Amino acid sequence: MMRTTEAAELSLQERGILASSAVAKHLDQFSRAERRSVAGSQQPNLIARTRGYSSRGQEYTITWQDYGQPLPTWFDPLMQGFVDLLTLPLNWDSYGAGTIDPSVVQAAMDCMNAVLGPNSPAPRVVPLSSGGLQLEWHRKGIDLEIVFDPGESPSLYYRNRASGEEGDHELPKEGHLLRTIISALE
Amino acid sequence: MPRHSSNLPEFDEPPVVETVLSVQFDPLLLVKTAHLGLLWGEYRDSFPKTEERLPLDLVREQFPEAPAIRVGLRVQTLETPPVPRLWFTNERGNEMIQVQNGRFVKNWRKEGEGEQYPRYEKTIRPHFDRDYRIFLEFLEKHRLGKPAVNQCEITYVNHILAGEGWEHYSDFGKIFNFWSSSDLTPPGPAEDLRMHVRFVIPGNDEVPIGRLHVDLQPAVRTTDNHPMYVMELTARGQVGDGVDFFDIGREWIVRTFTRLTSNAMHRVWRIRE
Amino acid sequence: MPDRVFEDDPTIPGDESLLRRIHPNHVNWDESGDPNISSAAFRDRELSVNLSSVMAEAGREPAEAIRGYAGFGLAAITATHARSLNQSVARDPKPDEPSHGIVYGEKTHAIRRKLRDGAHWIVNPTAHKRFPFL
Repeated sequence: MMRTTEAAELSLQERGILASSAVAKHLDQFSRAERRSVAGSQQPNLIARTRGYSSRGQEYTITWQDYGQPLPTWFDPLMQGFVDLLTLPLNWDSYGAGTIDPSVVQAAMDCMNAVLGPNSPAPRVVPLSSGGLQLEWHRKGIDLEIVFDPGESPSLYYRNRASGEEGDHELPKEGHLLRTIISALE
Repeated sequence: MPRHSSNLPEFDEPPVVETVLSVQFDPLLLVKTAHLGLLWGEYRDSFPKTEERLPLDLVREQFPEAPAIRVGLRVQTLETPPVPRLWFTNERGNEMIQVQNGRFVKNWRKEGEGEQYPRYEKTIRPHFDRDYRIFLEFLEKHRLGKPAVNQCEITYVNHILAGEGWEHYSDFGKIFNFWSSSDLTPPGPAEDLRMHVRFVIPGNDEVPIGRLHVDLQPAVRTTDNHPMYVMELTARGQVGDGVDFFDIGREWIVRTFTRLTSNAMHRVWRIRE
Repeated sequence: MPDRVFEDDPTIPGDESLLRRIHPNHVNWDESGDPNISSAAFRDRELSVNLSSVMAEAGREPAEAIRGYAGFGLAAITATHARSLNQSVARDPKPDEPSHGIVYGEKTHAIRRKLRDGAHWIVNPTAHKRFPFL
């Protein structure tokens, strides 16, 4: 029987997954074993994917689900940056800094996954002595810094060196502003 | 839609084959795989079978939503593999507890055609509360922390079998009352129907507290290829810091199921007048 | 243990060079290949520095502040610049580092950036993009 949607792949990159819809059925169900779907009524299935990264002799795996499309150019440098931070030892800055909080890394990862487009440049991933992290872009005359601190809402700083415009904003309230600035960096 | 109402529709022979109650909480830093093995000891008399599975992704309804090209991004170290999800199943195979660091889940399944489905108020909810309490007491006894619940999820799975009010997949207009005509020219009568629809569940002050997902698809029973429509209703959300959302979600599921299905099918399922 | 509070020490002159070790992760390399300091390097309420005059009195070169810290750079700000941003500059000698001092005060995002903007390199960091073994 013919499957309906295998050929329609070009637009997969343009599709945003509504996360809760996508995973609504990932709870195991006893009754799933008692039935099978009728062929021909399939939608594109989410694919479980993994990618490995090394840092300071430690191995990490990033896992996610998508439609199997190619990864954007920012993906590897960003994930490597996160993994590099997770492997920083105590006193990494020589001034008594603590290790980086994994929940902060997760929050930053989720934020970037939501705002970076296929052509967005990767940020620098910078550790903070507080156990948080800062994502930075300095390009095209624009400085953008997003700070993730344990126990605090993330915030962003933006400066346009040509116009002199600058400001501090809270996230996620100013999510739209963040997307606009990141588009200007492309 | 009223909440905590006592006038919920009831059916003597509902098509429900499985109910799932799931509590999601912020992962506890101290919980290790060994603790889950110890936990099994608390349930082993009633749930003597166990299996391991990969952990489920954490899911939260968002308002507003932020659609993403990829979901469930997680980082884990190979040196400390993720704590698995464990299944604890009873001897009959009709009840299951699933536990991972971040989720506690209870499944009930209807066994066989003649089996009477256990009711939510009398059996499903009290048994869940009992088993969840055991879990909480275990965490307290071993000083592993108190779960901060961030989402509750209740799912009803219905197998609507052909031969009871309908015969062919194209007869979905006899099952569901939201399709005005199954005979459109062009393109002609629909062969079958597959649907996913979502509804926002508002709180008392109209601020969203969750979503109801209704998923419908044609299927066959694996034992004999008997045609059926599978209708899954999942209510997911959170109020307060406990599990109060279960009652709200269940009410939304029952009312929506009744509203979306036809009076003719209600008679097949013996709705109580 | 409660945070210590440091009063400004007027015996530290305005032109005192306050030396700060810069971790490779706090260096952004621009398109020209020049190193720029991240504002993240100037975040601590009790910001540790070396007072260059104390080092000089002991016959020590500023670069000694990063001896044994492979890949680090060494940057400097003046006491005047720190004080202009509501920071106190204080001596805090330690047994293993007599030149140790503190730039003390709340460092909002704006202050961190301005401290960074007023810093200059004394010793450039080594030009590597990643230091996986540090």
